[in-house]
Amino acid sequence: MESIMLHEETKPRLSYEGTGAILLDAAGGSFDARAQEKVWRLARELKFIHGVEETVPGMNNLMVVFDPLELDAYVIEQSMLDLWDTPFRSEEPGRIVDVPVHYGGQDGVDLDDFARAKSLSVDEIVARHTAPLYSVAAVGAMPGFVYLSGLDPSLAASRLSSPRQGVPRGSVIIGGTQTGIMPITAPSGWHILGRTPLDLFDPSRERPALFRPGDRIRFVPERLT
Amino acid sequence: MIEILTSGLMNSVQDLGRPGYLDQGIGRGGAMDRPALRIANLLLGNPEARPAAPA
Repeated sequence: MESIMLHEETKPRLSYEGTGAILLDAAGGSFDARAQEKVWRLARELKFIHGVEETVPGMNNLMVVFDPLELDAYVIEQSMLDLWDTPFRSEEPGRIVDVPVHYGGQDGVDLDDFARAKSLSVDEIVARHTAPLYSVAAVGAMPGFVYLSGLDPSLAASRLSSPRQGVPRGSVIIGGTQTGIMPITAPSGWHILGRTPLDLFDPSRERPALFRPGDRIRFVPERLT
Repeated sequence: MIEILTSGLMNSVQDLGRPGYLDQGIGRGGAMDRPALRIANLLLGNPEARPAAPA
């Protein structure tokens, strides 16, 4: 369904990141899916301005990297604000991708403790984690990492008091109000619930990151151990 | 021709990096102060993206 954006939202705040980048921050108290659509739209359209080098969507924010010798900061700033306030129709959403997950056991070493801490059964945790259709809000923090919106708030959990040095690639994790997938083996303080065999980052692919903003993903339980 | 006899900690040669992948979580690398590198090259009559050793 297409709809015109009319709702009230947080007015974006702009700040300079050095001489060649501007951060637009529209984050309010909680994640705003429609503000995120605007972030994606600005990311797409601002790329066409001569002197803009990169547009980088975050969670309800956007960084625009530009060449300060080609483009006056004031000009790009005005373009960002003007485009933000221009009404537009929702885009067709991106692909829907099923992500198979082995929950628990060696692949999800925190699942049992996580369930105990929530006073829920393991099956119930898996049911609540696999129920939503998550949206890829942004890609970043590490190569190919997806910031997903849509986690059931009852699964939110503060991070481990001390992060693990190496969380294996493919681990499906929860930290704070977010869930994610490790694209590479790296340190993380998030809870490990399971693991997917999907390869989220492969430098030999034409586009190394598997997912892009606007894609939606569904976790599909492969087996319970 | 420059012959480097000794080098300090973390000395490196940098160019303007590889932009275009930040939205996949990949930093561009390269010189931290890109305008400075370009201006230095232009003052020397070099192509502006020529690699240089920061000092």
